[in-house]
Amino acid sequence: MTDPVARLLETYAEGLEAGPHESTNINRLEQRVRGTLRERASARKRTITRLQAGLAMAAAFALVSGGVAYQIGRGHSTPAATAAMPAGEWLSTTTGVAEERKFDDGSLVRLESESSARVQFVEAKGGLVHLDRGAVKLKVHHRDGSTWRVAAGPYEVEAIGTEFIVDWVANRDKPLRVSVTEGTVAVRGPAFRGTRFVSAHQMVEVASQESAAVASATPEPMPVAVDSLSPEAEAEAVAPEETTASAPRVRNEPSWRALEASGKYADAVKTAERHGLSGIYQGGAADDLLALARASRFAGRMDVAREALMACRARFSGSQQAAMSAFLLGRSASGAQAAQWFSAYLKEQPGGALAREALGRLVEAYQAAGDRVSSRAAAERYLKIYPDGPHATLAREALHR
Amino acid sequence: MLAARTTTPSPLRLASAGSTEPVLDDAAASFAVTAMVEGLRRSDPAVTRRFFEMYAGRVERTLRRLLGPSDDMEDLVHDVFVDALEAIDKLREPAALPGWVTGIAVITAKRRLQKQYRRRWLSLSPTGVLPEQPSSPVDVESRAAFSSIHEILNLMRPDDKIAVLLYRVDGLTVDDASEVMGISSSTFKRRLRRGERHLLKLAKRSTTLRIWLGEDGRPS
Repeated sequence: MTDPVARLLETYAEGLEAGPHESTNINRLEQRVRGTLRERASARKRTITRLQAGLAMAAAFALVSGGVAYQIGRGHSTPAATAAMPAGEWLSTTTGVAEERKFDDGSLVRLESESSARVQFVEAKGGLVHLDRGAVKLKVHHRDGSTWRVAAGPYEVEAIGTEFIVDWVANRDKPLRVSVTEGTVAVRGPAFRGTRFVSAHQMVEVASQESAAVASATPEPMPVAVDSLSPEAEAEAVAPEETTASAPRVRNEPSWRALEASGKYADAVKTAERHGLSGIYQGGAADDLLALARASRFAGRMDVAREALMACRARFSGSQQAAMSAFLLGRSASGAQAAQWFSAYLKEQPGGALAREALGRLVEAYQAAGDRVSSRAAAERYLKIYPDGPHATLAREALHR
Repeated sequence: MLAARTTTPSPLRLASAGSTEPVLDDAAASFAVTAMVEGLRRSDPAVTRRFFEMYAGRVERTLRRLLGPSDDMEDLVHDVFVDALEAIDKLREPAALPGWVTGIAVITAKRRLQKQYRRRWLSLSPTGVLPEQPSSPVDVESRAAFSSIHEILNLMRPDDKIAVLLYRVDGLTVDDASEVMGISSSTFKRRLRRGERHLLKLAKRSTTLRIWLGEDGRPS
């Protein structure tokens, strides 16, 4: 035989055939497949039941909140109408008038007076609100894996907790103001060189400054300072040495990052795949990996999201982003595996911005795994630190089981 | 012009899946396959059982040829059947069942290969997977050559590797192989040529395979 490829592959084929391999046990295979199909069918049924229950609750909530809004509206000059808000709709308010819109997942957006915003898109577990000017208050309905984001100028605020206000006026001294009433948000943008987490009862403001360093392509004033952060949030801000490594990447931002930033997640992941995911896993900055994970999550590519997060943990061990990766891995896992990730986050960031959320979810995860002892321990710890936290009711239930 | 393959090509569409199947003419085979699809859609237990019996061997062979020795072959075969039975209602052309099942096996294998390929840098071994029990070819030289070829194949791009193995080892025609991969014939040929070039290039760098092929690149 003169064809070397054929020779090589013939050797390979012979090796495969000669190798020890048991023929498939049809009985066992059939039983396993039937079992898996039954499990999947019942899981789908459970999901539909939960969805129906959720929709019924959402409808009830809409009725109640509509009634409350009406009652409140009667006593105030700024009635807030609540209605479903489809993707792509622009919403503008005039002086003295606020408007509320409700999303299908139960989350609520309130556009304050003299504001303008648009829901860029809505997905099964979240969406993106583009704030053109003014202030928007978002109350995110808490669900596993849900992610809502507000884009304001060059900034992006991602809801990790539940309730926050983003105020954006491009020509103001301090164009961006983010205040959080409940939970935690992640703020990203030119003033931060990374991700800034802002927790409940904290506020971050970004001041503008006319500077020679202002990028010519950026018409908005360059934000340079961050005010009103608590010591905790300052401590959790990205360390300078971590950010300098990623700074040059911002100048040569790969196109998948641009697509990700503009909300084209599926395209971003495809582009990243074309460029080579391995290269990003190996050479990307920690924030690149978190961004890739975020885009993948929205694009439904959980395999890529997981690998990006795993790479972040492997390469940036001990960093805030690695801890964040543990939290996100926990959020996409369930039961005992989720518990491991949330425990890892709490171990690495015991006083971190997401500590309350992680501890609450740890209680949930242990419950889902059927680990009552650990669930009670986590619940006790939660109630001791956060007696009024969003998971407090769940924690009390766990203690009384 | 495509190079010679190691096995005889067999058309996928109307081929009977199991070696014990009686030889049927095209019309009878088409009728039998269509009847099987209808039975699967009705969840007929006897037909489903027959489906497992007829296709388990084919699926396992396809996976083994594409992935090499694997400890979790049973899990992978299971995944293929779960995906196939869940999606059987989406099969537009019942007569295409054999190729369609092979296509699902190829997709399952591709997912695994892509995962291995991406994780090479995280793993202790260059490929991410080592054949713990590669095989038992008769002589030591053949065994060494087999291991080297296996490692080289795992260094190739998953799409190229699948193209080469489907055509050269599984014996599919260009049309059948491109169909199960969900790509055009010209794209398939391009991947096949690229894969073969890469395979030969890497083989010539390997001491074992250089000896195996002979000094001038010809087989010894």
